[in-house]
Amino acid sequence: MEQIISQLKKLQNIKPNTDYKNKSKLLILETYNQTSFTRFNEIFKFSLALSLTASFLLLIIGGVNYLENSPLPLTITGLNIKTLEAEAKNLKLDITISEIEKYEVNQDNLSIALSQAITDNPIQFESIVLNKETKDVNLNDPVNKDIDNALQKILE
Amino acid sequence: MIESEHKLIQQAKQGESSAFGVLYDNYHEKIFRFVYFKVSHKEEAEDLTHQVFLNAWKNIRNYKDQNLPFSSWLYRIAKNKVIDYYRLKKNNTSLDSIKDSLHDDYNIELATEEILNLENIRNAIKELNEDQQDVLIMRFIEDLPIKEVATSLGKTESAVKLIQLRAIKKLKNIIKNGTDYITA
Repeated sequence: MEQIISQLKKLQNIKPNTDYKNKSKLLILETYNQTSFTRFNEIFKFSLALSLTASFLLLIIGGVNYLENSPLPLTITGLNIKTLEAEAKNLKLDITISEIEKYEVNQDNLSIALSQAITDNPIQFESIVLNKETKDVNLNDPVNKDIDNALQKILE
Repeated sequence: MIESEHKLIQQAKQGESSAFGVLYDNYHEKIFRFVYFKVSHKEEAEDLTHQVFLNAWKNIRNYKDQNLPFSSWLYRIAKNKVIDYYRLKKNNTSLDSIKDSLHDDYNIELATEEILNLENIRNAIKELNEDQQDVLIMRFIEDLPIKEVATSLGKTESAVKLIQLRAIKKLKNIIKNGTDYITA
């Protein structure tokens, strides 16, 4: 047994080629940079993809939220019948009120102008009216009521 | 594990190639011999040993320091590489065809008769089962303590002692009775 063990120990003399050993070592140690670069590259690509996806999702969620809450015409209210009816009612009401306001203003202006004309300078008013009426009157028509009325006013 | 080795491993884990270079120098020959006796072919052993250390360097960050010798981890990688090697070779090459002569491979400065003896032993080792081969190579060629062999092979110390006893007995019988086989 001792003899076999001593023979086995002699096999320790088997050694790898020195050139191979050194080359192999250099090759192995060089792979570190490549490995770390590859890892960095992979991490970079992954984080880029992740951030792009997150941005895209945020954009979609934000956009939908904006459209839902925005008062701008971008909101598609045309599809809602109730909203349309309410808008139509408001529109009629608005028109009526504005018309009333317009009539009131016109009436006031008219009465102010008439009272001013009568009190300030009736003679001038009369001559102006006469001149205007003279031009407009159709003398060939003896039954023109407007002419009659105008003459009546002057006489008064 | 010696303190300096622990330090080297920590440095290598942080990416210091010079630290791994020192570990490489310390263990390369042992791992090479282990692989060589398993595959009996110089070039194949060189390739496999290269792969073992490349694998170790790439995965050194995953190495868990559990107060076990660094060599145990390397031997485990080497063992797996050899298993993979035979798995791939099985369908392609006959094992006999890749056996090289010790003399051709290494020009050991020994008498021809002694070289023949060593070659007989090497061939006899090939006749042992895998566990017996591993134990004999680690215990008697690499002089590793039983504890380290047990750790490397994932076995108990008593199991290693038993395997060792059986391996030597079997080796003795092969050498004694198998002259015809060896010289054939």
